Amino acid sequence: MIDSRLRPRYRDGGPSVARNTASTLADMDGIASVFEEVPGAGRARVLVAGEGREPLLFVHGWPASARAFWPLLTAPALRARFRMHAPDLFGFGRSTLRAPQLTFAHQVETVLSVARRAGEPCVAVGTSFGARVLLEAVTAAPELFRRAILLAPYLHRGLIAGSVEGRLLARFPRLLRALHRPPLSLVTGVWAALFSLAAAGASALWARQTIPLIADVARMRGETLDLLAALPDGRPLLNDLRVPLELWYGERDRLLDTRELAGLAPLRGLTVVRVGDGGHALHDSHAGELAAALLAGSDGDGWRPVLLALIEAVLAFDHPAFPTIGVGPVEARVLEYFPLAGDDGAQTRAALVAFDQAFTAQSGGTSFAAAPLAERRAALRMCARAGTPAQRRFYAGVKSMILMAAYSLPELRQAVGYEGRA
Amino acid sequence: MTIDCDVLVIGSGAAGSVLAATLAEQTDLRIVLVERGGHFGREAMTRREWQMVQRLYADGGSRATDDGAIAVRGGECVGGGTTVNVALCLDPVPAVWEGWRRARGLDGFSFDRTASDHGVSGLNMAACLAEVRARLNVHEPGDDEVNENNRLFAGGCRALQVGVRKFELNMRDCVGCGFCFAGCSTDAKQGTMVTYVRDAVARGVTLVHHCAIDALEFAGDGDARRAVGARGRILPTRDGSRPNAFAEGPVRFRARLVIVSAGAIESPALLQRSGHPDPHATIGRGLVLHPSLGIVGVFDHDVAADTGIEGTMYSDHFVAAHGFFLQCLFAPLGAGAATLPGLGVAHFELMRRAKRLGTFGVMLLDSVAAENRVVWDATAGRARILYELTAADRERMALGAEKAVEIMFAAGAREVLLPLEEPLPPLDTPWFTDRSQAALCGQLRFDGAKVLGSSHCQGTAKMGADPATSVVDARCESHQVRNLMVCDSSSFPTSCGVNPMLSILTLARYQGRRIVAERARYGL
Repeated sequence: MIDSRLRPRYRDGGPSVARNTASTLADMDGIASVFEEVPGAGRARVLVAGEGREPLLFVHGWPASARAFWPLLTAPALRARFRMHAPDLFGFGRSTLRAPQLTFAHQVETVLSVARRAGEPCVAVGTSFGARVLLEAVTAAPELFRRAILLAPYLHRGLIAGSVEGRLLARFPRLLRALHRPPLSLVTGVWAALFSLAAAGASALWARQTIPLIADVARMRGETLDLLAALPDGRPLLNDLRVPLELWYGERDRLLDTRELAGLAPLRGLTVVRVGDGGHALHDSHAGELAAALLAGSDGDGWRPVLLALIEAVLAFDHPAFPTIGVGPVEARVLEYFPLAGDDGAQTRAALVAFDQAFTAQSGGTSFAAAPLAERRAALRMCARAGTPAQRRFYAGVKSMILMAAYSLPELRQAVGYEGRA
Repeated sequence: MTIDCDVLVIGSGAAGSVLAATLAEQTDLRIVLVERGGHFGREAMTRREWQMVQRLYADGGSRATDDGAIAVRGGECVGGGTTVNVALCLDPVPAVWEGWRRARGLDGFSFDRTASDHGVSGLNMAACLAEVRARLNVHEPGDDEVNENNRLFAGGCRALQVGVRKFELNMRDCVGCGFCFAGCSTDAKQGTMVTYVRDAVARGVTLVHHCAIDALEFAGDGDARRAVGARGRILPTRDGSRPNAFAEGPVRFRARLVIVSAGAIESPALLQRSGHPDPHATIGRGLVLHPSLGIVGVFDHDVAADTGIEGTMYSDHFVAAHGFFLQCLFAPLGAGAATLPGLGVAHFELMRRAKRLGTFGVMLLDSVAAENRVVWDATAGRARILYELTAADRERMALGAEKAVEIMFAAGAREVLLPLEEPLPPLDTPWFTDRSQAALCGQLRFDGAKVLGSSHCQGTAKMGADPATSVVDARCESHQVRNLMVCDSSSFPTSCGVNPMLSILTLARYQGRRIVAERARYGL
């Protein structure tokens, strides 16, 4: 468990996160509002911001909307690095449900639709109920994600059983639903804002979300409560994680049973982060820390051994007539031609890491780099011959990248009867 | 920065350059010619494959259909596709244009040299074609310019009684270096960069390269809506490019006539992101790609297909009945290595025989399907190319593959292979050792990534009299926005039936001459 690593690191010189909020979209500078058709569900509104290449997805909680992420969507450092997408889940914000009944699956499909549209594996952040939705999405389609952060996740119903809200939900579900229809919903919005302030623990900054929150609650559909009341248990999903997952919880969260979250730490692929002075609304109270973690937690160098192993598999270092140049010059040329290490390479890096993860999962724990050459080639060949469209694209992309680079080297050109440099 | 002009032409390729040059030749209008790519003259053509692909091609050569199945190549540089193509010239097909005239209610486009279309004296396609052919020095190469790869292809065709012809080329004193795809380093290729763009600039046209147009600007509503300019950004000038006329930064153009000639991918995308009205959802729909498949033959002797003029021979034998051409082509070493099937030792063994490989391609004249389209994706900030071969086109492509494999064997190849890795029972992959195996091609799906290529996007802002099925009319004027034209391969209602360069140039010359005669129509 990582404990209190956040504050000292970000107190000075952390990324700048705006500290005022806006109540209407028109005030949100540089945030586009687009609509995504979610098959079988309806039309989801998605806030899109940022000029960067890496896709970053935010999933809001209850009772809120994508607008809850405004401070993050406008943070310059995030905007420079990421292309951010924040959907309004169905029943919230400006999304329009066309299906006759709202289901948990509709919310998951919304997240998957937006993630698919991003075109490459995403970093994703979910908060509270949204974290539970995200966990389901990550489990259903791990290839769409490369890192997930669950903030104060509402993993299962029992987690809120001890809180005032949990008890109200258990005892007076119909009353609560009635309170979420106009005109009472406006009153409920005020109530929810005040209540969330309390539930957010020590986070006084939550207060500045009050007016937008009242608007969100007033617009919210009562059926969203049914999803909370009938939430499928997310705990089993944590036992088989295919995507690196961080779980943040606030020590002062009055809604969730934080002792249970603290006890999750030993699970494989899961990192639990305790935020000592945080409450439930971590995405807001600790927006700066979250932004810094997103920026710092890049994909590291994990892609590099994968690339080297791919170069060995695609070329024929095991052929007696192959030039004795070694992998190094080829890798250098690949990196010269394809800026993998920079911002523009994020997509390829993510694909390399995702390929390795899938290979490792299928081979029972052996990474691609550690696998014998014949197995590596067999796996690539499988991508080409029987793979999904994404795997076929990966195969073609990797082959093209490595061979274009390799056959520009004079040694290889001469080995096949061509002269000079390319 | 705001730049005022009379006519703004967006795109300096086969259409835009001709329009700008024609207007400059016959009027004193202030014309601005905008290009998204850089201005790489012959001094920048280094014959280094990777560097040139990065400099000259859209998306650095990585553009593809949304499903990754077809690589969609396009020149993004001054001269556009004419800077990077292999100079193959086929005349516009009168029957195709006559078919468009009848089926889509189009006025004009006469191929009769005595006709005066739109009431403009001497305006007809035949006259315009003659003019562009002369300017590009379109001519048939001599027999001594046909390299071994083309000779083998022609021999294979003749052995099977398949008609074969010589291409005409827009070249002047070609040295046969084999680097056409990477831009001509001797200015032998008579693309528009060295012809019409040069003419245009010499006559006072302002060329602005490295200029990304974000949106067209319109004024007025309903029937009174008209184009008044465009806004965009001048990007930093890349290494190797000639200097730009303007400093980088935001830019706005004000014009009385706006002509979009950005090619069949970017033209519809620009209309879509500009909010051009699209009441019948026609913009971007009905994309035609001319998907192409390479055929590789392994010969006993050196073919050295990489030297000399890449394409001099072709066959239109199967066009009338089956809608595909066979055309002689060859890939440079890097792209060729990436295309050849297999990995590791097997791939290297094939590469060791690179000099003994002969290749040509099957080019399909694909049919129009509404679901094949270009869509501007605001979220991703790029045009998406949604395309899938129709079942009938897939069958025709498979037939093309079969015929091509037979011809390659007839040419003397010991083995013939396709750049596909899909299983082909009883063979492991489409790698044939005997001509009798060619019939197996009927099973091919062509569903691997980038196994097909396209260099001929067309048909995404179609001409037609009916706004319900077209974007522009016979004048290439938008049905919805006044003083806005879309004139390039987007305008073609279907495949133009041949490699499209001369068809595009002729259309642009034709519309350019018409605009000169009808200036008042645009308040010019």
